[in-house]
Amino acid sequence: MKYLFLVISLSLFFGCDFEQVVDIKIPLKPQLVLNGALNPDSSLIIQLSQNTNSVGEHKMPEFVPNATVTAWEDGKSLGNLKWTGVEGRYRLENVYPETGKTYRIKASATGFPDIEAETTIPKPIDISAHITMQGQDATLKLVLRDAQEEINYYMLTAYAYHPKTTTIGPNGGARTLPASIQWLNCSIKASFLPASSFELEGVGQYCGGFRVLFTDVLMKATENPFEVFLSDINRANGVKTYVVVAAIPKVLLNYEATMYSGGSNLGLFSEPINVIGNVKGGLGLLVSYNGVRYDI
Amino acid sequence: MKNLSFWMGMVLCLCVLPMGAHAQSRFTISGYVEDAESGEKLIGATIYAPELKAGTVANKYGFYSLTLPAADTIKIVASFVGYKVQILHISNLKDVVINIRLTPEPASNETEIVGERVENIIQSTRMGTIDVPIEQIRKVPAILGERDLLKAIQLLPGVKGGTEGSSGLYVRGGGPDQNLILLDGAPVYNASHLFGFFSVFNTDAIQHVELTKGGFPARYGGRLSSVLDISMKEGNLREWQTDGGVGIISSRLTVQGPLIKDKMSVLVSGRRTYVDVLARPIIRSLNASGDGPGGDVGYYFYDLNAKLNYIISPKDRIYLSTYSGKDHAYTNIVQSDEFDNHVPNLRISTSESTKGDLKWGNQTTTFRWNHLFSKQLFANTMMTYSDYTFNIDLGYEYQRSENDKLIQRDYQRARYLSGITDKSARIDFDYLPIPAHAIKFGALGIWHEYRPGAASLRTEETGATPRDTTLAPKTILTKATELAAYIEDDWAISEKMKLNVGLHTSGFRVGKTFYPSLQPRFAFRYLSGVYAFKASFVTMRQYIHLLANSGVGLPTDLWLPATERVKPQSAWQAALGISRVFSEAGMEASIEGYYKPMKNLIEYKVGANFLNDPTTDWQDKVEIGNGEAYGLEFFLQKKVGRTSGWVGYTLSWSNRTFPNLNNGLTFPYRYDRRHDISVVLSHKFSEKIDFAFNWVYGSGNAVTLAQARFRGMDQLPGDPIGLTQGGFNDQLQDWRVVLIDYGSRNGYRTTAMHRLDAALNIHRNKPTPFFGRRIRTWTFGAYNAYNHKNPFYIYLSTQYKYSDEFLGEPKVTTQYRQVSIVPVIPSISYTFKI
Repeated sequence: MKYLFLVISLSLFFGCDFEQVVDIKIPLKPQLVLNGALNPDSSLIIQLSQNTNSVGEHKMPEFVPNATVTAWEDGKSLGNLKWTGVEGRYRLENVYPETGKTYRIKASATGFPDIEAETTIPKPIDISAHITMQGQDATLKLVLRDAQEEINYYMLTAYAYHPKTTTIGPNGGARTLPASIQWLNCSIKASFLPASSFELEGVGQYCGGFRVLFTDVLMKATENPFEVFLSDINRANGVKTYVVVAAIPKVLLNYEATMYSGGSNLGLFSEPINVIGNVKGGLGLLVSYNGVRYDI
Repeated sequence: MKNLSFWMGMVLCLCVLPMGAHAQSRFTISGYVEDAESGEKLIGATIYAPELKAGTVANKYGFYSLTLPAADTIKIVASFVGYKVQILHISNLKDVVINIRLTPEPASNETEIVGERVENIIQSTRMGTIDVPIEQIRKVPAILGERDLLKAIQLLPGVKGGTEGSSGLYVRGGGPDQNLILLDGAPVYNASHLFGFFSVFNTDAIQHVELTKGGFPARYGGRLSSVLDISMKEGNLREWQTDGGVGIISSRLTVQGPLIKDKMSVLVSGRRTYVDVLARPIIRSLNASGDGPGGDVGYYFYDLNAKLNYIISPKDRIYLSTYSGKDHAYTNIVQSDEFDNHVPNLRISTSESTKGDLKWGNQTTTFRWNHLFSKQLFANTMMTYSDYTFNIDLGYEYQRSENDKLIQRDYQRARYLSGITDKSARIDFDYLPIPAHAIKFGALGIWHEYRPGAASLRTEETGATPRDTTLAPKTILTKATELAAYIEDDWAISEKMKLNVGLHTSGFRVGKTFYPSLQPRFAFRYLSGVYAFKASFVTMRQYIHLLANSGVGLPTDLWLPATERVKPQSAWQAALGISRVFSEAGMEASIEGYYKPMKNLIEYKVGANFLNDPTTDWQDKVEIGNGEAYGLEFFLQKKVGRTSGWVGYTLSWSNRTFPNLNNGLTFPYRYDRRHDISVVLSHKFSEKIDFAFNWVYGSGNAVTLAQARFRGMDQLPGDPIGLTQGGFNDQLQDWRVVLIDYGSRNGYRTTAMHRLDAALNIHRNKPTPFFGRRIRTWTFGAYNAYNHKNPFYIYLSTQYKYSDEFLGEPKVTTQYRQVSIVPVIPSISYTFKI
């Protein structure tokens, strides 16, 4: 009998190593990656990078500096975008996207298939706000006017802008911190927004932790009041706090949805999800938005 | 509706016309074939007149009818696998009822398997049909010693089991929804327990199993890929009998016997797991010591089968059978705390409770009436009820009191409910006017109620307005009606040629939409010596869809009707095959090739699942596409003798094409597996010892793996609304997101899976003081005996390596890791029969 127990024990011991590394060769097919979010308040600018291997040592995918990037506005050529030398960005100086116009971007580079994408700048958001300050807390009472005959998509975000600062250390040395953005959590009360993140998932809205993207599916009137509450607002050292509400295209909501609800390989329980993109021949996302920013 | 009525009328007219064709120069013998010891009907037993080369097969109710030309005397051979052949000499030739009782034959007896038995595999026109003796299924070694019908079925050629350990069925490249699983005629929608690890069928209560995966006769309809027809035992009509078993995770008990000897019997069978019961004192003890979860946590499942069988007269029998099974996972954790917070006269108490209930299960009931209109016309009338319900109920409550006064209460409760209910009525006739024709016809109606899923959320917070939200599609309950009629004739054109021709017509009404359908069925057999060459062509229509995030048969899978937007699934299947019998060896073999294109299959849209966006109609969450499957199957089976079992091999392809998935390109189905081999053997060394093993091999399943990584959008967070003139501020240190490109869907393969399961049975058969003879069996088994790590799933793993005790940036690498969940699992179980 003791041998039986020994056999069972050994079986369980050797059987319990459930995971192993598998060597699966996946050849890389080089592709260009175009990302851009055009809006009327910024000059036309996009980022161009390339894909990289899925396994092995992690390195940030590299930018592509020697590409030819061309833009069109409603079918009319705007010329080539210039390489800025920073963060993979190409820019058309002094060209500001206009509401309702469609922008097409095409990029080509040696060793990669050509890529192309387009986006139309949405109508401006129709919103009014009343801001109340109480100590370090702020309440924004907003009224969003929504066209009921069509499904519209919106984004709300709040952030603090920290300007470049220079501090003097104990030994007299100067230390400069670059400007940065700190994303803020805010609480929102809205009849068209459910109470919890569980419900946010439930009605086609996606909260990435610092911004909420939502549809007007649950809006019942053309005028939709709602409140945004921010606490512990930091005003030291020139820090500024902003709340932004913007009209966005559906593809941006889908991008967020697929990025947060999927984008991972759960193997057994669901099919892996490719994050939504709209770049033909390559990867990435070219979108646009049109919004209002409130300086708190 | 007019179309359907017309076709039903036509079919019934065709059925009634031949009923008068009874020639005076013939006589008919008819009756039931049954087990001599228990009175159980022997489905598929053959009755053969060798001198006239005419025969028939007992139908699924054990009834047979054989009309023969007049002669002085006629020799009749009755046979059934595992039973002694019985030879009858009939001299007084007139219509006669003979109930044939066959005696079970010891498996060690090799000599009597040949004789004059009619060999069904080459006589029958049917293709793609496998009849596995239930005794053989019981011998198949199983995980944790739990005999499992579906896992045994998975070992047959053309059937795949999905992921390691699961009870899913994928037949000839079809999906799990394309299998009609019938328990005494009632459909079972979710046939698995414990998220797919065990099937719901208690083998102690089952008498007969037949799998049809192609060449469907006209009597079957409603699914594209297979029909698994399971018949429960009817209950011993002669004596009381008790069967039972004690295993590692569950025990089972079956009691059957005559309420009125040879007239009325009853069977009750139950099975329940007891991990929860065994773990309860341990959890309590841990809770008491502060190391436990702080409450009750558990899981169990049970199955309960019952059947009543009453022989009213030689012409009338009624049956009432029911099945109820449920899975229940629960948690109820309460954590209380009391403290004074160092404030005089202030006593604060808090309590936090979390409750979770996950329940799902099937309930089926069948009422059946068998009536003999004449020696040649048998009727089965049946009413069935089937319900599958899935229910999640999650609750959270937090309370804070100060000096026993409630200060704060937060409460949340989330519920989700889905399911399907079917009620059906059907009548089936078997008409056997002459040996050359075996005609079956009938009609049925099914009333479906679909509950595609509703979620509700209730929140209560101190000082806030309570919320009670129901998030559900507009159509919480969808009703649909399915009607069908059929006629088929198994026509022996000559001694060598046989044709099964039939027509299945059906219609489905959901809302204002009606789908009519005509489904012709043909099967042909040509006999040449010991070989039978077969061909078949069938068309199938399926009015039900399964919306599943995975293929493992999770309780969250939603059964949905065809609608105006989401059309019914349809397919046709053509097959060619050859069968032969090795009489001397007692073996039969077949090779079949098939091709099956499928239309209107559904899949979730990218990113959608059963819970997200419940306000959206499910029709907006699905993509519609087509599929294609083809392959070759080899099957060698030995049903009797000391050594029995089978060897199966399948070479197959299964692909899908959806316009909005994988950029519209064709991709392999998740369970597209090129090669599949199974060897299932048992050997009886003596009356006391037998040994069984099965070895399976399957080439890798298709999986979607990460092909590349790329930068995601970082402009939005970096510069929401033109923070600085000109857009981007180069100084901003944004977060950067790196995304994964999964490339082509199911573009890669897991490693091959293979596994050996073995079991040694030691029997003891000795008299007991009170219960007569008692057979006891100890089973020692091992699942995955050589501990091969079969892939369950593969994921991309990320490792962080810090160069200097967590200072600086880590070196990050990714690699694929394969998870295997079923190692070698030894088991021991005990069964008894009194």
